[in-house]
Amino acid sequence: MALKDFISKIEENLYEISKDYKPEMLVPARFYASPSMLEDIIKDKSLEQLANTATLKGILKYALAMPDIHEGYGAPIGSVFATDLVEGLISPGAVGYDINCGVKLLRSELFKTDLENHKEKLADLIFQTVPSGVGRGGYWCLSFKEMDEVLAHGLDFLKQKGYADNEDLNYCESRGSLTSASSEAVSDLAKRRGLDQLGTIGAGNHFLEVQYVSEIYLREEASKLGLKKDQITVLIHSGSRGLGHQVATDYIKKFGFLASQYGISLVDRELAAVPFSAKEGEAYFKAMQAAANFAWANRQLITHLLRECFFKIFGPRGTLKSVYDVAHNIAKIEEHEIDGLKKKVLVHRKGATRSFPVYHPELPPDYLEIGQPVLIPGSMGTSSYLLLGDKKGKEAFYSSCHGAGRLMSRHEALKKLEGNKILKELAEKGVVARIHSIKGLAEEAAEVYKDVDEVVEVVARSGLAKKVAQFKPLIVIKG
Amino acid sequence: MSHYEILPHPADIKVKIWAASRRELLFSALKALYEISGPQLDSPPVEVQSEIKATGANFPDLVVDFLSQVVSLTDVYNSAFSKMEIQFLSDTELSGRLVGYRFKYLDKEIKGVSYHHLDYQEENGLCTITIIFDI
Repeated sequence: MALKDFISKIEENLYEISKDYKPEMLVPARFYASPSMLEDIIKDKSLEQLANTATLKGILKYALAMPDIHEGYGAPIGSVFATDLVEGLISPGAVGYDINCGVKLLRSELFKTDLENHKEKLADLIFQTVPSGVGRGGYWCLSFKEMDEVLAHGLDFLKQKGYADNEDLNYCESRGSLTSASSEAVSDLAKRRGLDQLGTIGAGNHFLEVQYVSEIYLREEASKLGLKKDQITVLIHSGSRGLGHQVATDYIKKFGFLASQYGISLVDRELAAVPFSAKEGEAYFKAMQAAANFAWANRQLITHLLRECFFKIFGPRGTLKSVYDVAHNIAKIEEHEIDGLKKKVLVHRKGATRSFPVYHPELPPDYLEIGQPVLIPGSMGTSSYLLLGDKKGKEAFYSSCHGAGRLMSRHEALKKLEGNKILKELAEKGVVARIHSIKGLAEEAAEVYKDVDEVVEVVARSGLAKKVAQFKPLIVIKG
Repeated sequence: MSHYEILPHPADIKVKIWAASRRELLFSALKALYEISGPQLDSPPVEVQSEIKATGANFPDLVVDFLSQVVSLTDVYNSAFSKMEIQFLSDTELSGRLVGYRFKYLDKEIKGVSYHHLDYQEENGLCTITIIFDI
């Protein structure tokens, strides 16, 4: 029998793969999708990978995937699952290589009309000031001592150095600093990779966009977030750069050797895992937290550089304030309801966003009555969204999607699409683009991704998060 | 003569690399990584050398670790490595020296090397490995 024979519909936009699909599966696997998305989702290996995650010891309830699911390494991109803290495993492959790849949203007091005569100038200034692409070192080349501080303290250290303020910390997941982080758990090679990468966007699907608020769906909630129609905002999409990749590489290799020692038989080498309670599990958790702190510091230093750019052109009116900053690739200890009881568990999110509902104790006081902002970047030239965590998210360990999700291979994109044509089409839409690689532009064109509007609709209709605002790009900066 | 071929992959770069021996396969893999990265070198070129050590449970694992180390050193030195002197090589260990040049930028940032869909074959005197570069 084929995989599709084991898939049943649980409710509108929610499907389940029975645990009978593989003898090693300990729980079923569920995924959110609209009927029209199903065909594409079944095409690649992503559901196979989701079923594989359901074999990890100590997994609770079910393995889950968001509608932007696509094939990754080990666990698919868009997956979420929780493991027991005592019996369960921790897997670097289920967090992802780019630890705390994430998104930060900033708002200004400027409006779309204010940018009309400054778009080209602002795009040039940002492109010159904020390093993007490969090989351009950062604004701040860290010493090893400073690196250890960034890894241990994240945004707290940036604030101490004058690159962040209280609001930046308040409006950031975990206040931008995971306190169990340990720089000692991070290899020297990882640190060396990151020394000149703080405050850099990088390449691949990472980008920076100056946008405007194109639609408000929930007026009161938008107002509490300081968002108004046509207001200028900035979205930063980047992660822990080479440092995070090295942490993942180091521990995936280590855990591959250790698995048999712990009696773990792996269905996929990239899902290498050890017990969370083992000393090696603890070491990875500390190193991953350190890399997450580095990523928050990275997005914050980019924010600092952007503030300088906006101030140069617009003066005090160009002040950029933090709306929120969320991680897409991370494992965290959270309290969730398991079999009717509240329990602390380890939630792995890989290409998924935490989306706590109203009155969750981890929310900043100003957001207690509205819920946690969930930032969904679109593909190039398309809309991005801000949603708020909703109560039904409880069924998904309070998680939501993270983006559009890839549909077409880079190879196919290069064959079918032309970078120069895309650039022209963006210009026709009024979008100014500054890029390092014209080939890279074709590989990241909107056509190679799923329709972000549909992904967001599925999340909203499933009650995981509610739509608050839509954003459209005016300036795109890419590596 | 081409020593590698890029295969379709949804998000990253899947490469099939071949050579007449295991030793030669490492050189082919290094060349593939270099060419796919597409470095624009500093002018005049600045040579960079680095020691390299890799380990693996078996030869395909060793190739993954070797390429992972090259990717890491590329980041550390902002240099693209195209040559190597092998000082010691077994199926599970490699030590040697990489030689490369500082770059202004890379056309493609390869961030890591994956075990996903790793496939190694030896047939009719040809060693072939299929490997995915994470970008």
